[in-house]
Formats: sequence, C-alpha cells, structure tokens
Amino acid sequence: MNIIFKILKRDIIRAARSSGSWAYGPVFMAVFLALCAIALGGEMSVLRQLGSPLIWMAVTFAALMSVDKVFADDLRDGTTGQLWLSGVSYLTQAVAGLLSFMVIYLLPLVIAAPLWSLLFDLSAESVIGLTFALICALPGLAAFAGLAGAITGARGKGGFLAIFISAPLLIPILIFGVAAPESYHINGLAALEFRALIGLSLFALALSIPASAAALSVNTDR
Amino acid sequence: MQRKPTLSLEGVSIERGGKPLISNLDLNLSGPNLLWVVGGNGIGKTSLLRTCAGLSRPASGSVQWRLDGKEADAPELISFLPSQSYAKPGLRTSEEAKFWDADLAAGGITQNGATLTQNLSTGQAKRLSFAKLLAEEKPIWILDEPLAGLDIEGRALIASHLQLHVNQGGLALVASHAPITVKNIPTQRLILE
Repeated sequence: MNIIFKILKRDIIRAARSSGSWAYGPVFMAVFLALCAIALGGEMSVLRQLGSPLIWMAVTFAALMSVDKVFADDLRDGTTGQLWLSGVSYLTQAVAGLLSFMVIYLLPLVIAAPLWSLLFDLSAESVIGLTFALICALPGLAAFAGLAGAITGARGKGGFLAIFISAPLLIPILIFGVAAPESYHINGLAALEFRALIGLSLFALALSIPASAAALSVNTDR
Repeated sequence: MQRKPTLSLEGVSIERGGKPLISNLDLNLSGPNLLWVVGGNGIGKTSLLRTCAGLSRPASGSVQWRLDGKEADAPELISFLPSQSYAKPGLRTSEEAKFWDADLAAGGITQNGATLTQNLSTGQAKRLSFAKLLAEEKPIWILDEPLAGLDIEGRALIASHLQLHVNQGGLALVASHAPITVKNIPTQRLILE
C-alpha cells in the first residue's frame, strides 16, 4: 500500500511542476462546451436539455485525450521494469497508475463540470445529479482509459488506438451517466442509474486492473 | 554476503525486431564472479543483459535464477543498471533518490540533491542510477554501459563497488565499451560475435 501512495505522491509532484499538463482536460472541456453552445444557437431551452449529455461527452473525450499519460512515461523510460525488479508487482503498478490517473487527470474534470454547466443553465438539482454521476463513474472511466493506456503506452503514438479500445467499453457508462441527472430529480441518489454506474465502475476495475498488469508485463519486454 | 547466487541460461536465443541476435547460448554463472560481455554495437549485449535480468523473454530457451541452489524469481536477486537514466523529470534528485530509498552519498552526488533530475549531466544521472542500484542490495548486478559519461572518480567508484560486491560473493554481468580495472576478483569474458 505504501508504494501505491509513493507513486501517487511522485506523480502529483511531477504534475504540479509540469506547466499544467493536468489542466488540458478542463480547458478542452471549456472550449468544446462553449463551441457546442454556440453551434446549437444559444437557445436556452435546447441547451438546458442537451447540457448533461454534452458535459458527459466532454468528460469522456477529455479522459480519452489523457490516456497516454497513464503508464506511458514509466514504460518508455524503463521505470516499470525497475519497479518490478525492486519487488513492486505489475498488479500494484496498475493500481497505482490508475489511481494517479484518476486523481490527476479525471478529478479536475469532475470539479470543472459544475462550473461549465453554467453555460447550459442547468438546474441546481441537475448539476448535483450530474456531479454525483461523474463521481460514481470516475473509477470506471479511469479503469477503461487506463487499460487502453497500458496496452498502447510503450508505442508512443497509440492515442488513436487507445480511443478505439476504450470507446466501446465506455458506452454503458455514458448511457447510465447521461440518464442519471434526470433520474436524480425523481429518486435522488437511490436512482437505478447511480447504482448501475457504481456497478459498472466496479466491473471496470475488476477487468482493467489485471488486464493492465498483463499489458504492463508484455510492454516491459521491449 | 554469504549466499550464493546462480544465473543459468539454457539454449537461449534472442531476437530483436525479428532479427536473430544470439542463438542457443548456454551459460552457468555463480557468485563470486564478474562476467564481461564484450561485442560491437548492435550485436545484442543489451538484449542479453535484459534477458538475464528477466526484463525480456528469450525467443527460445530458458533463464533461471537460484539462491543457494533454490530457484528464485528475478526480482529477488537482480539489480539492473540500464544504459539510459530512468530518473523522472520534474523531481529533484533528492526526491528521486528517496522514492527508490537510495542514498545520494553512495553515488557521490549529495551536492546535487536540489537539482531537478532533467538538469543532471549524463555522469550525474549515471551516479544517481548507481546509487539506486546500491540501495537494492541484491546478489546479482547487471550493468549496461555503467561507465558512460562518468569522470575518472566516478569510474573508480563503480570499480570499487564492483570489486566489493564480487568479493562478498556477488555475481556481476557488465557490458561496457570503456575499460574498467577491477583487480583480484574472478573474472570471465563472454565475447559476442
């Protein structure tokens, strides 16, 4: 457990000194959502209806854009192999990598989402529902994006391939995530969509952690 | 070091990018011993060292590691010094050393503790990598171009640690284009052609 927090701390320090690479996601969200709002004609009744789905799409795209940040650095410079030789299993490295990715690249997206929802004049309840849905889906997003990163990481330019790998896996999360804010109006946090998102996140973790570990092992062999 | 490490290669063939580099190599090494791996550029020295470290799988054959005759996994026995630095940009040298539980004094770079690792010279980065290797305290050292970029003092530091390691019963595999003078230890040469 100690090494997982050591890796997390190392990655947070590096991100903080990296001239804002962690901020690309929220900035991309802002640009994407502003362009969508303009393209839709600025009609508030339309924007209100499409706000949640567009924010979900922005979060998903921003997460996919960051896929090559998960394991790529460690794979390319040989740190993955060195950690393995120093007794840190690939499974532990997979958990640490996904946790780092979630905290550094995905959490800012969730924090930014309520702010960008102002563009769409969403009700307070919708914003709360949307935020909770993103929190429930966060581990799932990290797990599937991380798996794609572990598979393509060492290749350097695997971003497009990563999108092809993780996009189909993200569809169920997107379906329940988009429906969650509306269900929150009726059933609050007891809505089926939130439970489905948590279930999907747990499934994603159960699938992605061992699969990412296997991918790290294969990609260390260069 | 009381325990006896052994590294065995049986019928090992190594390929890189579909090109055969080494075929059917048998090797049985036990500590105390120093093996020089000698050969030209691109002949397969690094690939062989990575295979011996368990970081690459051979195309055929098997690699086994033993400690006092008992089979062990590579991470229990091996420290690997790669030719390139794996220090993380964005971390200070002291932070990088702390991450790996390494002592900067062992690599002779205490004065560079506050320097960001991307600002270290090649030699200083090599010293940092070597300090990390020393922190592992493993019985088998595998060193790929350990002297590249080092000054005379740095070379002497590595030579003295190599001598101490082998004298304590350790095993070392070294590929280096630069000559290292390590006296009074059992030494073998593997020439790749």
